[in-house]
Amino acid sequence: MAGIEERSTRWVILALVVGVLLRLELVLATTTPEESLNRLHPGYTDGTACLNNAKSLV
Amino acid sequence: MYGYGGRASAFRPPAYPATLALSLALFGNSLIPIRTFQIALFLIMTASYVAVATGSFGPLAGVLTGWMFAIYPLFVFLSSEVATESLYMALEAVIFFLCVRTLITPYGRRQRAKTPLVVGVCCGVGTLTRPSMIFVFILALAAWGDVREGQNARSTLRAWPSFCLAVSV
Repeated sequence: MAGIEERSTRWVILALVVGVLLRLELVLATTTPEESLNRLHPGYTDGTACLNNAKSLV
Repeated sequence: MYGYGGRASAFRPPAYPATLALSLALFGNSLIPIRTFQIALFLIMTASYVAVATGSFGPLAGVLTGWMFAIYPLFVFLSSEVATESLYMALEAVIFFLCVRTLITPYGRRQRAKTPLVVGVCCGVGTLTRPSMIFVFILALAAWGDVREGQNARSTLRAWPSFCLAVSV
């Protein structure tokens, strides 16, 4: 534990890097060139409604 | 924007759809840019909570906080999902960080005049993202008044108008 406390900045940066890699992997795994609008879980939360509203603005 | 499925327009707060629309206008018909932007929001959120945990409970708490936010499955899922949560949670984290740093924890530097303005802007944008942010605003306002009451009444009098003005704008 003392080692972690002494090098806490490194551990936090490592956590952030791992977090970013996990999220990028999830984005890549759920997106294909054929379906650029692919969503991980269509229907979860109000993503579709927000997307429809956004498209109406563009 | 002004109506969805026959429901009242306020049913979908505009901040996240507007952000999504900006992404679609700038980068074309793809959700990858907005999902990448949400990864940046994850970094802001985690950095805010790590700073609070480190300052309040020590380095080990900061490290544990960083890892929990990085690998907790629901947060990983929400960062890549088209949903209002990422934007809302990042704004909430910044508000929490600024409030704790300036009002509660003694390690913070002297309160700057622009801090309540930034908190107010975050509350305003947060309310446009998810209306429940209005309760965070009320809590922050109460905390600001309560903590500053015994310390420096002038500081509170200076902070409240800019805080409220920022939320209104």
